[in-house]
Amino acid sequence: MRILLTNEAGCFHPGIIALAKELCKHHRVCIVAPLTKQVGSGHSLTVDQRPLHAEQWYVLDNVKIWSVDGTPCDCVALALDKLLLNKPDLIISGIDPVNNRGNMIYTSGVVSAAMEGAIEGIRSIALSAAVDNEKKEKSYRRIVKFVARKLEFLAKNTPDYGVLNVNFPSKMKPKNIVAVPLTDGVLDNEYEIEVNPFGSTFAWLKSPLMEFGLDAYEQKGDLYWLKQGYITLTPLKLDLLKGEALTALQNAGIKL
Amino acid sequence: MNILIANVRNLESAELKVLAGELAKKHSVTVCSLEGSSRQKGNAFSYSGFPTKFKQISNYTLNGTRIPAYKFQGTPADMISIMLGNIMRHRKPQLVICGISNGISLGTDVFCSSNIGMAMQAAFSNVPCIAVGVPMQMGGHKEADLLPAAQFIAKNIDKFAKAKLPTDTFLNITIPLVKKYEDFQGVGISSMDNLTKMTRYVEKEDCKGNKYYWAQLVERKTADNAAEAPTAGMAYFKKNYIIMAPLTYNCTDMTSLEMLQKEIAE
Repeated sequence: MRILLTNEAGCFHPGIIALAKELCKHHRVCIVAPLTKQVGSGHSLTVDQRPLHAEQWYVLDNVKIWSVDGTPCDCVALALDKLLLNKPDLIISGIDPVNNRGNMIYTSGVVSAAMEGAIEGIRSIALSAAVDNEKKEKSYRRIVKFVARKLEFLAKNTPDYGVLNVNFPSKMKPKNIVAVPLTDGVLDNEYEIEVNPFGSTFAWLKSPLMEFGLDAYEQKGDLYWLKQGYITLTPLKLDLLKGEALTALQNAGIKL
Repeated sequence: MNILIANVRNLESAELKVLAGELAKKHSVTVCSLEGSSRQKGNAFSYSGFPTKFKQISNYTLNGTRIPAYKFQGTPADMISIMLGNIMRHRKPQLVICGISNGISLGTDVFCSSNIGMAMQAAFSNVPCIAVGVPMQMGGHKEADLLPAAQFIAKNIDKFAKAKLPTDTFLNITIPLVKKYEDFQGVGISSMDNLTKMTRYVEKEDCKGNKYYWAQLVERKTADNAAEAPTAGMAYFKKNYIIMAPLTYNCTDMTSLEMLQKEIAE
């Protein structure tokens, strides 16, 4: 299988390198990923601000590595249109060292890059894991072994024109795999406001990117199951039309 | 009604001023806008980059009325998040209007659209929200061209705020450009998918021989497959109908989920 790897943490991040090293044993693997960290870049594309540059690196045997001075979505779009000679059979985005669950997926460059792949009609998987910094090498090793072992299963269950969002819990030995919906969380970002020496006001976004309310665990979505120590799989679709809202909208009496 | 109007062009753009001017006649309006180019930012946050700079503009007036106004340097999602979570925390708006956007978001365009990204952030905060877009005009529109669109929003403003939509839903309103209000033919509810734009690149070489790539957005070619043909929504839009699409941020694919659950159980 031809596999394109990307991420938001940068093309030399240990997560993507571990994944490439494992998958290239049985597949043709190419990395096209951001040159610098792009955490929280969502589905941002670099369009009229500036052009993109791509550079090839010769670091791993059997794996071509391209860095792009843009976002994860830039990487996927540029890879598919210009950098790759052949379209990949599968795109894997990650491994993101934090979980992308609930509404956070829209802020995540990792999930968004997979979405960009799906928009282009390529089966795409997003991988995220709650990685303990002190045990990260061991964690990545465990995850890439799992992905390599289950690759066929994961690819087969990735929806056409959609994404399979895979999250690994912080536990070193996850309980099992569950297929669950996203958790609906309420946005409550925290900013630290600062006035600089010139009198200008700045807002620093503090972690986490999104807080979930207390009821979020009761929904039994991805957040709940990750906390219980399960690997969660969530198929995502590209069509955001809310069919159930059509009647309510008709009843709202909006007219000329 | 307490309304927040957010735009990604700038505080002086016709797209913001016409809408805010129309709504300020009867409502309490606060406006905010980004400075600089902010196209296709989706739900990006300035998490790993610079902090967001913002400033209150004390002398912003529309039709002689002073209006609270804020300008931002950051991402669209940051702006909405700071407006709702900090600046307007104790006087939350009853409705957030994102737009008028110079460009419409169809199908999967909604994922990278800055205007839809802002609307989604407001929906995450459980504030009723609409995203409004008109066909793109290079360099922006003239105020007169946008007046009918602004009048439509102003006329239905209470209905937008009180429509009993599910909490995970917001409205994407696509308005054709017409010369006068009477030229609108009606209001339709439809999806506007299958005419999404794709990102393609023009390859160039700089004076040192290094390659670089300019992005361009091109319309996806319509496939022979009927499922990918333009929807009825687009056909009506071209006949000067205003099209409304209720969008959700919950993108779990429930059909695939059920199949996957069965497969895991086996």
